[in-house]
Amino acid sequence: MNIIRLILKDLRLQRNFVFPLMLMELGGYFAYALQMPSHMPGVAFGLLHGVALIGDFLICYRTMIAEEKNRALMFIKTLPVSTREIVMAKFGVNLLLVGLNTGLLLALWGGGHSLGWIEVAPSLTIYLVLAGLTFHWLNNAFFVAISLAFNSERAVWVPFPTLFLVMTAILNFRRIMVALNLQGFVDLLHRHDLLFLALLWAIIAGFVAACPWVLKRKRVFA
Amino acid sequence: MTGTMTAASIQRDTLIVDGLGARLGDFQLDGISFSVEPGNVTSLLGHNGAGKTTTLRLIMGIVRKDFGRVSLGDLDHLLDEKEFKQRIGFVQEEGFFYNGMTVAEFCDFVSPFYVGWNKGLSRQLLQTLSLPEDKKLGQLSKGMRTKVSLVVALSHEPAVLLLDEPTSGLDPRARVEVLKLLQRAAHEGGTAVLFSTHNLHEVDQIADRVIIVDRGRVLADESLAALRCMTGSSWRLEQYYLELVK
Repeated sequence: MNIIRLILKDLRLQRNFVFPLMLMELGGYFAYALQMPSHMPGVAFGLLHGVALIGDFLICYRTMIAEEKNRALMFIKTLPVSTREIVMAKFGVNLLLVGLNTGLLLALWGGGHSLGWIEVAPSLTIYLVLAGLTFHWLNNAFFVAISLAFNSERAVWVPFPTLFLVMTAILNFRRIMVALNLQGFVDLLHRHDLLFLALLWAIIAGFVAACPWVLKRKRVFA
Repeated sequence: MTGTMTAASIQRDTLIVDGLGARLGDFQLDGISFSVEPGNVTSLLGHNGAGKTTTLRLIMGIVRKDFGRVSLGDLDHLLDEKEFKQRIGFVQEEGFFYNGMTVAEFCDFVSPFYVGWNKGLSRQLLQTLSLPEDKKLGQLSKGMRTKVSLVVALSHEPAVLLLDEPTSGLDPRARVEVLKLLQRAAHEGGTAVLFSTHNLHEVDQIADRVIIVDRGRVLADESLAALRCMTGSSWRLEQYYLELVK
């Protein structure tokens, strides 16, 4: 119950932030997407995820860093709630807000596509929606884990070098896998799409599980 | 209230800090020990950077300890974290958060976390302290916000009330109101009150016991009445404090 109470508190505090954020994202996205030539489908779809990536970061910033800076997180720690409940609530509210944000973007993409407003491919499949949501949940969970585990003021710089590292890893994915002798595993993921999503969810679960452990070893809670 | 306390209830409601220590950068809290008994106002006196806030944060589990033990009856502050905090009221310094919530909304948010939240007492405290329930926290003065924190800390009728410099930055009227409330909570309500301060006058005014800390160590832990009795009418807390921290 404590987790639900903390989530409801965050939803109440963020209600005036989430909808303007989504409107700005939609405005920004469609202003460019509608001008894109039809032979550039990947760019339009990539832009959609790029816009949602900014949303992932801002949602984390609002729910985590602002509360740490004004000592609200410290106040929560003085209430009769466990560290695990605080962590679960923070991941929970981020999951909901990112789901809402990315879900709306994807729904409008799908809607616009079926109505013929957006002529560019790809059309949405259930797998593409699930994969898109999972990607953004993972990205946001990474930000949340960083801001919980470290001082957010410093942690705000962590995502940028990490992003370069991740991009390099993605671009050289095949080479890395060959070097690590994991080609068989990659082929397995290619054959089973859902297994790949399960792997991403396992990483999210790893973040959630690791945070209470890290927080208990942190010198100052927030 | 204090007269009706039994030995068992005193034991159950006494906060014991035993050899608590932690290192924070250059600062070391060096195995401090004291106890806070029900029905008493105990002050944690020391200058800025003496270790008062760190001590209170260590008790609440906000800062991780390196060694030592904190217990309330048979509850350990970390092993029985939730049960321990059910019996503690904590007022932290500079609580400027949840500015968008009204006083009533803030109380409604906090109340479900406590099993023993007394709605009647909460309303009564809001009225006594003249706090407007429909006003947003962001629109309140520092004194008003401290009072809201006090209402929240007292409404679940805690066995122990911990306050980190509760009168810092308050105007004289708000200061007197807060100090009176602390005294009432201890002497009439039987709560064990521990408040940190660097204001000697406040200690002289309301404390039954004083714990003087300096550079992370406890220099003295004495009953003020006993000190006054021992040294006569010429005794001054200021002189005593300055002698110790010299």
